[in-house]
Amino acid sequence: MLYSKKFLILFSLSGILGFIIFFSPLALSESSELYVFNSTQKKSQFEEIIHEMRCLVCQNQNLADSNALLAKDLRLMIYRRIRNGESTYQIRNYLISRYGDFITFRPPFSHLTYYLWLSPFILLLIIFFIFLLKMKKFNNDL
Amino acid sequence: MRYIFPLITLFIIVYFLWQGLAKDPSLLPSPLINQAVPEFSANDLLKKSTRLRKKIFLQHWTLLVVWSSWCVTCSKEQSFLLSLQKHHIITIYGLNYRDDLRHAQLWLRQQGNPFQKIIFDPQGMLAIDLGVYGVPESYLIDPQGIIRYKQIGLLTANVWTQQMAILINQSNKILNHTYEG
Repeated sequence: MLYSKKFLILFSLSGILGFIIFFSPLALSESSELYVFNSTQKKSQFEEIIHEMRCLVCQNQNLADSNALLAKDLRLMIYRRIRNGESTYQIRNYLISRYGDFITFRPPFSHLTYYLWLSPFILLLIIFFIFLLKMKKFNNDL
Repeated sequence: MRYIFPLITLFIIVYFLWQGLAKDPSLLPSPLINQAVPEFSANDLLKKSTRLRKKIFLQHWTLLVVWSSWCVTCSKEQSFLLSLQKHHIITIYGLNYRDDLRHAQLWLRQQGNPFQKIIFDPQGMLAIDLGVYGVPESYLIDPQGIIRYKQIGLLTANVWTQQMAILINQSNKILNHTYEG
């Protein structure tokens, strides 16, 4: 025999241990919150909303990732509303009416946010003009 | 001369970053200011048999305080709320947020009860309707049931005199003025 019996037992034991350690995060993952939907479309709608809404307690996490109490409540509320047949648009509007634009990671274009949305293009224009000026100077120098 | 443009750009960037440092990210403006209190129906924590509805906010100014027995900061504003109630300065309602009935009642016995009515919201669903994201939070609601001010975090005597009391006085003045005129 190439390997002793003792070695084989130790080897398989460590294999099992490794298996347990590797998969234990799955056992610890949130299983109390399994939302059941009657269609895959509704499930994907739910996933879409909780991934693009911000948790207001831990502000750089979305609702899907956050473990805060408020995030849990908001997930439950979104779930109930989807079950009642509300559209993504309706649910998003409701959340914004309660928590403000800050709750969405994609703020709408409004009088408060136009600066935010337009600033890249304004910057691009400025750079373009500087570029033109420099080119002109360069040509004159030639 | 050639450094002027980059310098100006640098200053603009520094100005915006500096501003960001001074801001408290947890202080978010509520979109519910100057909006009506949403319709609701909930149990009273103090009297189990009564249902509370939106109309309890009509006819008088109300201070609505969101609290929980598990909230440490909440007990810090309790003495101030009790003194408000003792001098009959304003009607104070509570909104008991995500709490256990027994824990909440015990907490009231230990800390004192400044609330005339307490909306019991064990699941936090009404709180979402009000845009609550933590405890404590306080809302100032006018006699028409419109939210006029929201305080996130501890309600101190300073916040009361400098923000809330001023709002009440202002609208009372306008009222008196129209009566006189």
